[in-house]
Amino acid sequence: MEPDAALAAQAAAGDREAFGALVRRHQAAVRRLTRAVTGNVHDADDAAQDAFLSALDRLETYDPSRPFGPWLMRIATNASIDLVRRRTVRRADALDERSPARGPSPASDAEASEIRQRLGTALTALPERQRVAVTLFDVEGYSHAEIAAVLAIPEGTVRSDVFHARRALRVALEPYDPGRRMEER
Amino acid sequence: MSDLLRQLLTPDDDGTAFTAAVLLRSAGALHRRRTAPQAVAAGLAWTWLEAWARPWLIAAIVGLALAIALPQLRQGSPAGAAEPSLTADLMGASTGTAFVLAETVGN
Repeated sequence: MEPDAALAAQAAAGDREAFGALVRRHQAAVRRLTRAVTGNVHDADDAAQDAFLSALDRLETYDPSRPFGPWLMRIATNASIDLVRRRTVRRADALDERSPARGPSPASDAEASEIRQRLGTALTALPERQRVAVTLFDVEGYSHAEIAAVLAIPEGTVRSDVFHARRALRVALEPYDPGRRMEER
Repeated sequence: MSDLLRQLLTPDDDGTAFTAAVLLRSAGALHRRRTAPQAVAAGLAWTWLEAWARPWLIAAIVGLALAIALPQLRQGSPAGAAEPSLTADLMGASTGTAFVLAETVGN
């Protein structure tokens, strides 16, 4: 697999295939992040597309000696926050817009759907920066230092953001916590 | 919780349509990037040509302007009014002198 830096160099020269490979490789992570920030599937994809186009425009500012992901995530964060500020009306849409997950029984289907809904609502209620921080930390596996670089904030602030975000999400999921249920039984 | 969050945020599709949409929107930017080196090279060539041609161009324009303006200035000045006949006389004299010299040398 060709490294991101090589693909970025080829894309900078106008290579469509190389840019397409970069998009394919990073689209899922970027779309997860933009979805966490926008709380809306359609806005998330719009913001993710804007992020990739913006990244293409700014490829000269990418330092090939550093990882491509955090650089792209910074652009995606800014793109999604910009879009949210432009389209405040559509934020009322629910985050959970997908079809219900397939489960072993209708009861678990309903519960899974309810969990997703609660988690989505809790995530949407978080401040934008906390949403980005917890998504990058818990979903994308970024370190506090990397998130600090992406968001251009101190590492201590990232730790605090992740802590508060996780606590809020846990509170939302408390009724469905299996450990707690076991204790109750 | 991480898994739940990941499930919640992960898109349902495989990203093919998304990638196609991004590539469609970026077609113009990619084309500009492909053609940029040629444009820069062409720009450099024109710059060099302009730099080289500019003195000649200015000299040619000044020469042309002088060629047009000088006869008119001569005709316009009072002293210059007699000049055409004087020039003609001189030309005539010089032609005659040259003819005489040629005849002398030929003999």
